[in-house]
Amino acid sequence: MFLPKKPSKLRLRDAENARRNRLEIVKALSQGQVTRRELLKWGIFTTAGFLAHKGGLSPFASAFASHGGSTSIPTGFAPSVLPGNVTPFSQPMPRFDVLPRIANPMTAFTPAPMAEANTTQQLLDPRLPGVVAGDTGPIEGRPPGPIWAHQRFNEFLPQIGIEVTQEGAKVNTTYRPEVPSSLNSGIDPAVAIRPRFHPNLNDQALNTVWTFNGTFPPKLVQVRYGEPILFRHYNRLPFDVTQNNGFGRHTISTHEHNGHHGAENDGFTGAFFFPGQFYDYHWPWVLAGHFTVNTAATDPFAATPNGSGGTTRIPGDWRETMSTHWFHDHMFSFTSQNVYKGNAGMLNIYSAVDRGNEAINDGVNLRLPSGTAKDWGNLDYDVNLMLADKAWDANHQLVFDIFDTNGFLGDIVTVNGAYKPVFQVERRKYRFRILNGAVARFFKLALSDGKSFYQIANDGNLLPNRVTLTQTDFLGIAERYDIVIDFTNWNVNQSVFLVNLAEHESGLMPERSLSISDAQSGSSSDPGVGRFLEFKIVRQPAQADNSQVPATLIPNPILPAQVTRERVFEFEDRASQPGTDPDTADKNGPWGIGALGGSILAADFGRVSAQPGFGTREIWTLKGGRGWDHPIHIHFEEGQILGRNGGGLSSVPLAERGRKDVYRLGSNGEVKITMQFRDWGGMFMEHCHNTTHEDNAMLLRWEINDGGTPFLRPLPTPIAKPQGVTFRDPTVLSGA
Amino acid sequence: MMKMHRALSLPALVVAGALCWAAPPEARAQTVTQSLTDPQTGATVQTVTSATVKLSGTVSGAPESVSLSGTAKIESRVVWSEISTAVPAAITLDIDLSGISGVGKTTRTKYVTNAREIALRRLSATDLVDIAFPFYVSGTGGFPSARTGLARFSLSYDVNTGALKSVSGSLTSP
Repeated sequence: MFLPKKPSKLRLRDAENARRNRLEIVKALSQGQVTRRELLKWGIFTTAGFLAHKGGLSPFASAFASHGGSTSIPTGFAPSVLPGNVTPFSQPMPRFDVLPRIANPMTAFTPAPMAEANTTQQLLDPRLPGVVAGDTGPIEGRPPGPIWAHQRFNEFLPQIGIEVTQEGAKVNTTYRPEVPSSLNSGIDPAVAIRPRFHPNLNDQALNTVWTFNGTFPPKLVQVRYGEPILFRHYNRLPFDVTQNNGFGRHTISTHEHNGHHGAENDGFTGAFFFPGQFYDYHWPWVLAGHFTVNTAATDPFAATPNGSGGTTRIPGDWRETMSTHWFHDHMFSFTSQNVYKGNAGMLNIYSAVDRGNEAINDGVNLRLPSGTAKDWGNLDYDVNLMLADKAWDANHQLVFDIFDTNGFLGDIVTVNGAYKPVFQVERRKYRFRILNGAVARFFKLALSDGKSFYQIANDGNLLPNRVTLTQTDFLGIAERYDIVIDFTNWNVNQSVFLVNLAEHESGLMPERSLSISDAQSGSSSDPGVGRFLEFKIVRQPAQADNSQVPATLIPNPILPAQVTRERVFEFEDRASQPGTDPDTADKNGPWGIGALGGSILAADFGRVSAQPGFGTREIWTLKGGRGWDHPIHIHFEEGQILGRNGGGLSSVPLAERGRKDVYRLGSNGEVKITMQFRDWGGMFMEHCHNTTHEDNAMLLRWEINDGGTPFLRPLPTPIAKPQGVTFRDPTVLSGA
Repeated sequence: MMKMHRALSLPALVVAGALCWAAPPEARAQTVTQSLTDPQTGATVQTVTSATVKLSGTVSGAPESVSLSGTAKIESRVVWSEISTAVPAAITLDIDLSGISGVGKTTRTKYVTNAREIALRRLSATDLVDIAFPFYVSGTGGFPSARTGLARFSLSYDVNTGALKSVSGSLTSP
């Protein structure tokens, strides 16, 4: 077999990727990390000892059509098997499973949470990598000592605790949708929920999916400002790294996307923890500007529900109020696999402004669709939707191509872990918090009949103004759009569908957007296009619709006049890797980020690429390359887009004129944003949220530089091992 | 070589196709194409065409038919393919319909829109793009209700440069 005489650049890159992948396989074989038997089992080698003719693995197979079909979706595999009795819109859509809130975790949790990591030793399982019988290691995986201690822990002692595990698939017997069955499409929460994408599909095997608590549907956390949370995450994944059914890594690091918390709670990619350990994440839930704006807590808009119909005022800038987050794995080089496997949940944040009660009329509460029964956090008409494309084999077991570095695309669109479900609605207004939880797929959303709806939030932040739409902009990976649909536009017993207009051919970027009618015509080669969620209007509202959708929501924060520094980041491929530390440097590539006008560098979490000053404001310009679109996520701080492609604010669509944390660059495009760096310090990340790109080295570390106190400058890099975390000196890009 | 993001100096900006009057007379569109070149390599790194097109038409349906007209602003940007033989170049269309307004045929009520749509299309010599857009009674911002119209654009391109050559359009019911 030979490559063509004049192969395309793409073909050459695929071939180069395949070569690198084969080297990795050889390395893994040589180190005993995998066996030839496992490679045979995974279909990577043929029994004759040859590499399978497979995209991303064989240099002679194109990743674009690796299974020999006319379509490249799903990436690297034959189309998912759908039995005849698995038809679209034949199962109810489950609401999220709400994690219990445990009062006073300081006394309720055993062991009690601590400011510094709990280094109590435990006997390690010798199946863990690098462990021999008799070895011990800490029970908590958080890096030890004062540097990784929870910042201002005693000032923000946890009031609510949440305990959750990461583990293999099991039946859910404790489903808590927190709404009556009538508002959950008739689903009886007392009936066990099996780990499968449709009732007529097989259960997922124990180690094929690794979800929160090991169960379906995805989990929801509800928090309110001013109420510090202790999120204790237990790793109950297999000790043996090979027990992953072909993809996924058993070490995890949990990112609260996009929390304004100290870096020790950010899910830093190198601060991962092992099976048998837990990690305590401390989320104080303060408004940005807590220590510098409205410090006397006099602003009535900077407030949080008090549980009895009123509010408690809190410090900070209310214009920084956030609403819709999610949490997911951030394991270095394995985020895509682990998130795809089920390490993803959502998180709703409540405040005096966005309180989750549509009836309280105090002049502050925006009264968005939600419900009235509880003081705050009503979910009746406030619905989380997690969109994700999947692929499965003939036994309905999830599959994932670990070799394609363009981005994995599935051919099955799921909502809340269900294949093309139906959601029953009342004839009234609903808020939908929509998360793109895919690996590489972009969505673009419309209703099937073209009727309008309202976008109220972008990336978890309520917009300055309500935007009336008939179709959304592209929804990049990890972006969140909150929309309101008024179902009084339809009659009882009618249906309307949510439709995806974004067509892919590869994971690099969407190929095109379709009209609403074309997307539903069935003519697209992308099985992810078209209808994927049915809204069925089943009755008149059970209670009066008190909700509003105000024209004015949350204005943007007022920015300091002084811009301390401007930086440019370039997102490209063919990165180089000057790093030599095998524990921190990604050797695979091909993606990378250029900073400070220098070379495009592959990820090394031991390297600091930017050190903005504490308390400063900067302008960052993010530039993308040709032929792909990168949704770039910057941790910790919300930014405002100042312009796109060299233009000013007029170049920014109305629905992007609020605060954001993910910025789609567009092919050969650029986005100029501004951010402030406040309240907390430490090491954070910036990366492409096409998690295939992220895992293949499009990630960098930046650090808040406060001049040395109270945080060290630069911080030592954590090196996680089962026996405990050690530290190494970081490298710092000159001029960072 | 993928390093295309060098700073672009002003002299590198070339107005390639100054002014075209290529559309049909009933919907004549002015198009202006600008090509940005890399001053070091001379390679074209961006081709942007701006156009304005007059649109008109009637959207029928309850509570009344609405006669809409006005001007759409279109900016097309070439999505360059990194790998030309495998991934066709595409076009990003930024379509601003905020210049469209209308009058109800029964009540003479004024209707407006602030719709703006970002569309991604494959590059081909001709393309037909349908955009559903909301419009509503002036002063309401679309709340509590908005109606939907359909803007239909017929576009032609120079497939070698990606420049938008002509565009015409109309407004109708979806």
